[in-house]
Amino acid sequence: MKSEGFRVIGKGIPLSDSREKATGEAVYLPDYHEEGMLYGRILRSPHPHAKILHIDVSKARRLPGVRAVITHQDIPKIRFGVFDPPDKYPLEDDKVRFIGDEVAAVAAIDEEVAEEALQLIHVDYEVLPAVFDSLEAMSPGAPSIHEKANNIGTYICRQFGNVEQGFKESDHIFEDHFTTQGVAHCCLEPHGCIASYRSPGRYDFKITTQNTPTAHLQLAKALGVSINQVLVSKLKIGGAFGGKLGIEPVDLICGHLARQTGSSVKIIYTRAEEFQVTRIRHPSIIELKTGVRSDGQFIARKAKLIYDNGAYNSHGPRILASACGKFTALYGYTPNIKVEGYLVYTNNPYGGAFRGYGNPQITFAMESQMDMIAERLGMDNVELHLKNALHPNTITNCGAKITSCGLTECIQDAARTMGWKEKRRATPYRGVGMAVMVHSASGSRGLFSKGNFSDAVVKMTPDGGAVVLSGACDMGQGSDTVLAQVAAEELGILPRDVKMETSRTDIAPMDLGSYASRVTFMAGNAVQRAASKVRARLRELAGEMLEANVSDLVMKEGKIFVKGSPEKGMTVAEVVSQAYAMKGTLLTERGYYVAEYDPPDPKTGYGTYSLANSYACHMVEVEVDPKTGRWRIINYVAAHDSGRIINPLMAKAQIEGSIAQGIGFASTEDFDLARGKIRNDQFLSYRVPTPLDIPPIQVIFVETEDPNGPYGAKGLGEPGLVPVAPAIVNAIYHATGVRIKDLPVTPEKILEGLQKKKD
Amino acid sequence: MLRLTKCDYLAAGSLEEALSMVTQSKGEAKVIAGGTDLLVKLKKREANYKRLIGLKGISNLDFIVEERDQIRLGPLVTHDGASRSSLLKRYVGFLAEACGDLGSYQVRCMGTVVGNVCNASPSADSLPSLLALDARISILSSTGEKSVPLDRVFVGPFMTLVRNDEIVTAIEIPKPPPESRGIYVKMPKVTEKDETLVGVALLLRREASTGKIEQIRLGLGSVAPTPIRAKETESILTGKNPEDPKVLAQAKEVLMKEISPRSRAGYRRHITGYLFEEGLRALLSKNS
Amino acid sequence: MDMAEREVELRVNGTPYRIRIEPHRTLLEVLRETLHLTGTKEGCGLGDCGSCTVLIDGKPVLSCLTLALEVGGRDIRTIEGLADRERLDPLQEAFVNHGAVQCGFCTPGMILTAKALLADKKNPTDLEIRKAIAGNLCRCTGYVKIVEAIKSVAEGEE
Repeated sequence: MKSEGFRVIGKGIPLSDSREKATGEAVYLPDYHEEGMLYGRILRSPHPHAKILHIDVSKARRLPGVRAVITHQDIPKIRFGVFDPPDKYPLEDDKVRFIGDEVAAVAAIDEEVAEEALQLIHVDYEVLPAVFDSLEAMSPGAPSIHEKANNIGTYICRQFGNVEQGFKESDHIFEDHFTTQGVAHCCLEPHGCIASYRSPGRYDFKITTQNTPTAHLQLAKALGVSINQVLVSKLKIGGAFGGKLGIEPVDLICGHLARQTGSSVKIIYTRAEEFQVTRIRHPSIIELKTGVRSDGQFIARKAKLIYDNGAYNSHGPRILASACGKFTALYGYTPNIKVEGYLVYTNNPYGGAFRGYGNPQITFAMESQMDMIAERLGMDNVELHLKNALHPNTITNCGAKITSCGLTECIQDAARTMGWKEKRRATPYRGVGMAVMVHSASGSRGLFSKGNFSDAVVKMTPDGGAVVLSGACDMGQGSDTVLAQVAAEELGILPRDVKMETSRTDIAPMDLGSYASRVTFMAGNAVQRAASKVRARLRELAGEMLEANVSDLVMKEGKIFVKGSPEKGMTVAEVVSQAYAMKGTLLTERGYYVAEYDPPDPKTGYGTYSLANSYACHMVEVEVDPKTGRWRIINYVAAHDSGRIINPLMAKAQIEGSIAQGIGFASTEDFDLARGKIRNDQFLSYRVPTPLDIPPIQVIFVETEDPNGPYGAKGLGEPGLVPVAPAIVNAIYHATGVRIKDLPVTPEKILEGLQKKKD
Repeated sequence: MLRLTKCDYLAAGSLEEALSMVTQSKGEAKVIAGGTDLLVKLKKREANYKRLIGLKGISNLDFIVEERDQIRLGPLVTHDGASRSSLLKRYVGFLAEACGDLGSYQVRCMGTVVGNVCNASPSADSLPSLLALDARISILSSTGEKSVPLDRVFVGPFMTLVRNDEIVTAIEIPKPPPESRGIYVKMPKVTEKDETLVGVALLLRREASTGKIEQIRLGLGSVAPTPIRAKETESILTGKNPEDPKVLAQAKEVLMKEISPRSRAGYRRHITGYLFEEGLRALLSKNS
Repeated sequence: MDMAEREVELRVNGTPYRIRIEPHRTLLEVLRETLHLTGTKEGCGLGDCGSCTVLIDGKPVLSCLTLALEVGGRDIRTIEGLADRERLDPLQEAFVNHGAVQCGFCTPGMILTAKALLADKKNPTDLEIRKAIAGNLCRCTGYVKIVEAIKSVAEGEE
C-alpha cells in the first residue's frame, strides 16, 4: 500500500460510533420513543392481483383506542417513485398488484389495538388473473398489470457496431442462457418510520433511509406540500444494502396518519412483512451470444436481459439501465456490442435497489460464459481475462472513459495469492474459479437530478475540533468515519475531534445519497474541498499569530508549528479561539464537488456513466463431495481496485460482508414463491449464510490513484458482492465438470449434473 | 414488535398441580417448559390458549439420575444440560452429542429434551437417537402414571399421543449394553447450520467372535411424517455381517421402502442411504 | 379478554425492578418497553436471529421467546449491564477495535452470546466460536472480524 505521508488517510480505524453500538446506547428507529406516540399497522392485500371494489373501515374506526384509519380516500391522489411517471400510491385505490400491496392503515394507542383494528377493516376484492413469470407476462393475453403493452415497463436497447456482422467474422460462437433468483436484503433492523405533524403543516420524519435529501424531495412531492414543510432525519440504521434507498409506502402512510391524528405515529415492520413486502433483487433471465476469435479476442457480444420487475417500479428502470451498462462496459473494447433489456411487470413482490444494482445478475452470466469460452479455446481463464481486460486512460467502444483501472493487477495479484496455476491442475473434486467485475465507484447521474454532485460545509469549533455538514448518509457502513478521516487529514486534527452532522435535511447540505458506491468519492471530494479551504485559513491565521511564513508551517495532531521549531507553535484550538475572539474571523467553508464529464447520449447510450469505476477479481477454491453434492469454499481471494483505501480496516470489513451476501446469492438464499406469496418469510426458512458458511477470506487492495477521487480514493460499498456467484460456479465447474447456469447452486443440481456426466 | 395474544399465566408448584390446572382448563390451557416451540406457535397464531401453565418454577425437575438399568431425565432438562451430563456422555454419548449440536446455543439453553419430544417435530435432532435407544416416556394423568415406548408416541407431524390433560414427567433411557456403539449423523437443509434435512441414529451391537450384527437400532428424522424406527431394515440386518457390501445394499433397499419424504424427496432418499452407510462405517471403525 | 396485570421483580444488570405487567408479555417487550432498555433488539421475534439475546444466570437466552413472569428472581444481564461505567467489557473493546461493528444491530446479542461462550470455554477453537454464534445472524460483516474479536479476548489480547 502506498502511503504518501498521510497521517489519517490510510489508517484502519473502527467506525466512530462503534462504542455506542457495542454498549447498546445507539438509538435505532424501533428504539425511539416519545410520550403520546401512536402506533400504526398497515392492511395489505392477500391477493396478487385484484380490483378493490369497496373498503369498509367503519368498524375499525369505532374500536376504542383507534385514533385514525385511512384509505386512499383520505390522502391526496399523488403517486410516488423514483421515476417519471411514478406508478405507486401509498394506499392503492382501484387495484392491488401483489400480495402485500398497501390498502389501508391504522394508528392506535398501541400496536395490539392497531392489529385488532386491521381485522375489523373489510375489503371487497374482485380477484383478477395474475401472472408470476416474466416470459408469460410478456406474452399476448397476459393479464395487464399497469396497462403497459406486454407488461414491459422499460425497454432499453444499445448498440455499437454491428453484432450480426461480428458473429460472421468470429471463429467461435457461444450462446448461453442463465437465470438468477430473487433474494432479500435481510437487514437485521426492519423498515419503519416515525412521523409527526404540527400545524400549520409541518411534517417531521424519522425514517430508515440511506438518503435523507432525496427522501425529503420525494416525501414533500408525494404529500403535496412544499419542501420546507418537511423535515427528514434518521437515527442509526441497522443495515440497508440498497433496501432503504428512497421512500417506501410506510413513510407516506405514517405521514398521513400523523396529519390525521395530530400525533407522532410509529410503524415498524414485522419480519414477515420485511420478507413479503420490501424490495428484492430483480430475478433475471439472461441470454448471451458471444463471438470470439480463436486467439481470445472478442469480436461481437450480444445480450438480452429480462428482469422481473414485480408489481411496481421502484428503481427497476435504473437498475436495468445499470445492468445493460455493465454489459457494455466490462469487455468494452469489443468492436460490436448490443444489449437489449426488458423490465417486465409481474404480480410478484417487487424489485428495488440491492447492493450491485443489477450488476450481480449480468456479471454472473458474463463471467460464467468467460469460463466456458476459455475452456473451448484451450486458454487459461486468467489469460483470457488479461487479454480482454480494461486498461487505464482508455475509452471503450461504447464511449466510456476509463481513468484509473487496476483490473490487470487485481487478476495477477489474486492469481498469485491463490496459487491459481498450481490449483488449476486437475484434482478430483477440488477446483478453483475466478470472476472479474466493474462497477461504479463514484455514482452516476443522480436520482432527481441531471448531475452527480455533493455539497459540504466544514466549520471549526473553539476547542480545535471541526463540524462537518454533509448530506451523505451513514447507514452503518461507516461513511461518517471515512468523511471524518478526510476532514481530519486536511485539518491536521484527529478523526475523533471531527463531529459529523449528516442526516437532518434542515442542516445538511444536498447530497444524492449513499448508493452506487459513491459516497467516498463524491462526499469525500466535497468534504476535502471544504476542509482544505479551512486549512488554508488556519495556516494564514497561524502565520499571522506566529509571525511566520505560511509555507514554513506544519500541521500535525491538532498543532500548527514552524518546521523545525515545534516550540514555536500553537494548538489548533488556540488559533481558532484567538481568531474568533480577536478577529471575529469565520472559519466555516463550503466545498462543492460535481462529477464533470459528458453524460451518455440519451438515445444511443454512448458515453461515460461514471467518472470513476472500481474493479475486482475474485478467486474461489472449492471442494465438492460427489456423494452428497454438498461443497465448501476452502479459500477465497478478493483483489479490489477502489483507488486509495482511506480506511483499510473497514474497507476489508465491507468486502468481507459483501462476499458473505454474495455467497448467499450464489447458493443459500432463495424464495419459496408460490403464486406471489413468499412462503419462507422467516430466517428459519430463508437462509442467510451462518458463520459456518464463510470461508477464510483474503482481501487484497490494488491501490491505483484515481485522478478524480479524494486522495485518489474510489467507492467500494458494492463491488465485493458482484463477482462472487460466477467465481463460485466456475470453481464448482472446475472441480466437477458440472456447469450451473441457474442460480442458486444446490447440492441437487450438482448431483444431477454429475449423474448426467456419467450417462 | 411480534407479541403473543393476551393469555393468562400460572406458575405451577408441582407436576401434580400443573396437571390439575391443565385438566380444569378443559383444553384451553397448555403446559410450558422451555417454551421455544410453543411461543413461536403462539406468535404465528398457529395455536391459541387462554392459559399457559409454567413448569419452570418447580424445583428439581432438571434431574438426570442413574437407575440400575436406565437413566431418567426430568422434564426441565435442557439440551445444553443433557449435552454436559457425565452420565449421558458415559452411557449414551451419541445422544449427548446430538443434544449439544442441535439448534443454536440459545435454543439449547432454553429448550428441554422432554419439550422436544412433546413438540414432535419430524426433524428434531434428539428424537432419532432416543428412538434408537428404545426410550420411554412417563405420562402422568388424573388416572395415574404410565410408561409408553417412544416409538408409539409420535402419531403425526407435531402430534403425539400425549393428551392435553396429561403431562410427561420423565424420559427413561435404557442403558445400552457396554459393547454397543451409537452414532447420530445428519445433513442440514441448506446452510451448514440449519434445520435437519435427514438425521440418522444408529445403535449397534456386534457378536464378539463373528462380528455379525447382534442387534441394530435405526432411528430416522425428517424422512417421514414423524421420527421413525426403521424396523424392517433393522431386522434384515440382524445376524448379518455389516461389512458385507451385499448386505448393505440389501439393507438400503429395504430402508428406502420405510421412509416417505415429501419435499426434496429424491435427494432425501439419496442422503438417507448415504448417512446410513457413513454412520455404519463410523461405528464399525470406532474402538472402545 | 382483559388480563389483569401481575407483579414481578426482575433483577436486570444487578438492579431489582418491581413492575406490573400482563402475563403474556415477553422479556424482550418488558426490557424495551417497560424498562426502556433498548439495547436488546428485535430482529425477527421468532427466535431465529439472536438479536434479542440476553444472559440469564450466565446462559444465553432469546428474550423474545421468554415470558417475563417466568424469570423473576433470576440474574438477567443485558448489553447495558456489561460495561462498568466508563470501562468497557473486554469483548466490547475487542469488537470495537477489530472493526467487528458495522451497523451494530446484531452487536449486543452477539457480544452477550460470546460472553457466555468464553465463560464456558476459556480457549475455544475457531469452529467452536462459529458454532456458538451460529444463532446470531449478522448481515453486514460476514462474521470475519466478529470471530477475530472473540478469539482475541479468548487469547487474552485485550
